[in-house]
Amino acid sequence: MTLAEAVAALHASADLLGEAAQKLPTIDPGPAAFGTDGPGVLGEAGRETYLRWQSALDARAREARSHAARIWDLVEVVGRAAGGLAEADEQAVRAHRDGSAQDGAES
Amino acid sequence: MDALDRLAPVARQLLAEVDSTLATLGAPATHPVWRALGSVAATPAAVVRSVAELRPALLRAAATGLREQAQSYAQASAPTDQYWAGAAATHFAATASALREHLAGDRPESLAGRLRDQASCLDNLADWQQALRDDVARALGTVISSRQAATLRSPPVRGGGPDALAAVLAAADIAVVLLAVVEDAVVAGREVLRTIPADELPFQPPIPSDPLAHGGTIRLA
Repeated sequence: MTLAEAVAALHASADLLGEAAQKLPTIDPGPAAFGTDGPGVLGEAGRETYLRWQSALDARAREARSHAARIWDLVEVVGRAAGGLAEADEQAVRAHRDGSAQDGAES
Repeated sequence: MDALDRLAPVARQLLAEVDSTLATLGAPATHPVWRALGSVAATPAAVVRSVAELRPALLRAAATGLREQAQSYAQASAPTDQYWAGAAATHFAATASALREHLAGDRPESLAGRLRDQASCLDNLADWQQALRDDVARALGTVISSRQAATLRSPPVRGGGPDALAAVLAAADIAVVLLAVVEDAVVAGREVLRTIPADELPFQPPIPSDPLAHGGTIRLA
C-alpha cells in the first residue's frame, strides 16, 4: 500500500466513524419503548433501563468520535512523513541538477 | 398480535372492577394484596395497560441498527501492506494495527464488539418484555375464568354485607395474581439492564506515539 493509498484508507475509516457518531443517537427507539411512562415500579424500572441504554449509546458515539480523532492523528503523522519524503525528493533533484550544472561548467 | 393483545381488551372491565373495589372497599388487613400493592406501587388495571403498550419489536429494530453499525466497522478499509519502511513506517504499521484492532479486531473487546454486545442486551430486553407480556396474558387467562371474577361480576357489591366482603376478597385475590407477575418480572428486568455496556472502551496506544518528533526516518522499501 502506497502512502497515498494508506492516507485514503485512513480518511475513509475516519469518515465512517464520524458518520457513526452522528447516526448512533438516531438508533434510539425512544423512552416509551422502554416503558418509562409505566406506573409504579414498572415505570421506575423502565426509566432506569432507558437511562442505562442512553448512557451506553452515548458511550458508543463517544468511542466513534474518539477513534475518528485517533485516525486523523495518524493521517497527520503520515502526511508529515509524506511531506518529508517529498522534501527529500526535492533536495535530491536539486542536488542532481546542481551537480549536473557544475559538471557542465567544468567541461 | 400476541395473547396479551387479545386478552387485555377482554379483561379491561374486570380489571376496572378490581381497581374500583380495592379503592372503595379496601381489603382485609392481613391479605397479601397490601404487600403486593406496596411493592409494585400500581394497581392491576394500570399495570396491565402499561405492559400491553410495550412493543418488543421496537427494541429489536434498534438492536438491528446497532448490528448494522458494527458490520460497517468490520468492513472499514484499513491500511495493511505497505511499500515503505523506516521508523515512521514501523510506527505507522503499529498504530494502524492497534487502531484496526480497537475498531473491529479479533480481541474480546472492540468498538464493533461493544455495539454487538449492546445489541444483544437490547434483544434480551425485548425477550424480557415479551416474557412479561406472555406472563401477564397467562395470568389474565387465569383470572378471567376464575371464581373470583364471577363473584366480582355478580351485582351488587356496594351495599356491604357478605356480598361486599366476597367481592373485596375476590378483587384482592385477582390483584395478587397479577401484581406477582410484575414483581418477579421487575427483578429479572433489572438483571438485564445491568448487562448493558454503559462505559467507554479505553484505547491502548502503541509506543512511541510520534516517531517524527524523535528523529524518525522514512525510506522507500
